[in-house]
Formats: sequence, C-alpha cells, structure tokens
Amino acid sequence: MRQYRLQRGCAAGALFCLPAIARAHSPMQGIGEFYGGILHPLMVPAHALALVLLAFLAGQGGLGAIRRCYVGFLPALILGLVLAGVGTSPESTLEPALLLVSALTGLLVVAQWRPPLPVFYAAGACVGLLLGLDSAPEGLQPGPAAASLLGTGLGAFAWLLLLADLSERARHHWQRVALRVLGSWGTASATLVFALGWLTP
Amino acid sequence: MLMNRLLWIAGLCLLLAVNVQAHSAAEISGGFLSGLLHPVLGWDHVAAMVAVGLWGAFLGTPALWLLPVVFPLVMALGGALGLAGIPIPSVEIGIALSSLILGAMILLAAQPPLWLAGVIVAAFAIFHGHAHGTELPEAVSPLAYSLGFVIATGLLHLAGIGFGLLVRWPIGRIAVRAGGAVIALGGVFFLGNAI
Repeated sequence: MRQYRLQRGCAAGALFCLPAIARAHSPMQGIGEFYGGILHPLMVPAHALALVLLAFLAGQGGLGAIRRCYVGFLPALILGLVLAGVGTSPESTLEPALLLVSALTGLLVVAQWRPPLPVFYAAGACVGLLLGLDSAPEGLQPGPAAASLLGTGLGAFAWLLLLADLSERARHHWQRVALRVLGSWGTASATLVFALGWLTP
Repeated sequence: MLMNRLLWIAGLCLLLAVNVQAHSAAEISGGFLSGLLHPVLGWDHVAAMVAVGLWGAFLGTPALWLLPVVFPLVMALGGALGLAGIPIPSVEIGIALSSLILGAMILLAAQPPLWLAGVIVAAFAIFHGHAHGTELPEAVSPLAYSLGFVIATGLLHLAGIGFGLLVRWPIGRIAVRAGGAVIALGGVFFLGNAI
C-alpha cells in the first residue's frame, strides 16, 4: 500500500515536469509586450519581407501611390489585428499567402512597373490584413495581448511609413538600381520558401 | 502489474520533448547566419557568383545590374525545381561549367547581346538553385536561411562588380581578364572533380 502511494506521488511529480509546447511570441525577452509588438514585424522574416517590398513598391510609385497604400494598409491591418486578437485567424495559410504576395510585389519592384494607382489600395490592404491576422499573440493574458497587438499595429505602420519614404527619395539611378536588386533578393527568398511550403511533404 | 508498467512507460513517453513553435530571435539569426555563410564556403559557387558580377561590369550598364538581378530570380526557380524533386541531370557538372564558361567569357572579353548574356547566366543559375534548394528543408528558419543565402550571393556579385569596375583603365582591363582566366581555370578543376 505504501509502495503504491510512493508510485502515485512520483507519477504526480513527473506530470508537473511535462514539457509544454513553447509558444513564446515576444521576439525579445525582457522588453515587454508593447515594445515586443513594435519589433514583431521586423523580427518575423515573412512580415519584414512583405513590409519592405510593399514599401519599395509604393515608394517607386511616388507620393500618390504611397498615400493610397497607407489608406488601404491601415484599416486592413487594424481589422486583421482585431480578428487575430479574438482568435479567428486561419494561421496555417497566412505565411504562404504573405510569401506569395511578397514574391509578386518584389517582381513589380524589379520590373519598376508602375501599376494603376487604385492597385496600391489593394496591395496595401492585402499585406495589412495578412500581416495583422498572422500576428496573433499566443499564450498571453488579454491585457498583454492587447498591448502586443497595439505595438504590432503601430510598429508595422511606422516601418511602412519610414521605408516607403526612404524608397520614394531614391532618385539617383544607382539608388533605383539598388531597389531593384533588393527586390530581386526578396522575390528569390520568398519564392524559395513558398516552394518549400507547397512542394515538400 | 503489466498494466502498471504500461502506465509508467506511457507516462515517461509524455515527458519526451516536443517541437518549439516560436520564432525566437536566436533561431532567426542562426538561420540567417548559416544561409549567409553557406555560399561563401563552396569555392565552385563563389567563383561563379563573382564571375557573374565581373562579367556584368565588363559588359557595362545595364548588364552591370541586370545579370545580378536575373541570377537570384532564376536561382529561386531552380531551387523550386529541387524542392519539387524534379531532377536536373549533372547538376555538379553544370555548376563547374558555370565557372568555366563565365570565366572564359571574361578572359575572351566576349560581348554578346544583352539577352544572350542573360540567358547564359539564367541557365547556370538553375543549376546553382537546384543544388541549394535541396538543402533548404534542413534549415531551422527557412526564410531567414534563404534571405541570408540570397544576400550572400548578391554580395559576391557585388565583389565581382567592384573588381570589374577596374575595366575603365587599360591595366585594370588586363587584371579583370586575368581574373576571368583564374575563374575559368577553377572551373576546369571543379569539372575534373565533378566528372
């Protein structure tokens, strides 16, 4: 009887040692959920790639394109973050979709083709929505989760503002060539990983 | 008694470690760094990448930037073929030939039309991409790895362009053609190893 009690005690102790799946989401330890959220779009490679390439595309299109891109991006980002916050985002398809959008955006950057201005509303909205939906904070209480989402929203919009403004200022020939080269790098990386997700079992 | 043992075994199995499902900074930077280092560690790849930049600089604008833009784009397609398991015959020979032929183009100061130079570079990019595409599934953070890999490839092109800009001066032109000769000789060596 005493032996069984000991075994049960050991079993209960062992259960406390069960490893849980690590779902840490803050990209850096110790900076808090809000600041972690601000850095989140830059620390997740698929998000950073989509933001950078969208910013390059908008910047190449000039100020009119940038404004339309913001108008599409911001409401879609907020909608995506809200949906992610309430846990209704289909996570499994989001990263491949972001990569596909990145590859297409990067191709437009390489070609330096200026699509009609209304396209920038759609491009901004598409990236904003996907990025917001894919930023769901995992394993957080409602307060820190809201702080993380707020930080992600502010961070993503700020990074887009900054990068689009920088690329709009690229007036010299070599600067525009550099944007094309960076676009080709982004497209190549996104294509490779998109293919990895779809073509390998 | 048997039931008791089975329960213990089942309990111990529960203690087995499971996958980490987070995108930690260390994981991303590790993937990026290993991708960044990968092209630099293979001499056959280094020679071909530098040759692309060198030839681009030799041909002048717009080949100067067009060839280094075509290369990663088509390399990604080659990588997709590798990931899909579509075989390309003699990949290693193709990679060795890329050094040999691109080096020879520089040595001979060949100046084909831009479209032909693009097609030659694109054809070799498929072999390089196919070879690397098969290595991608092992990466911890595949996107960070591929970003590092593509950036390293671009920087090798840039090194070739930097050296190739010496063609503005007569002595520099000789130095660049000598560089092409070295790359072509390297290609012969790689070809010997591949066959």
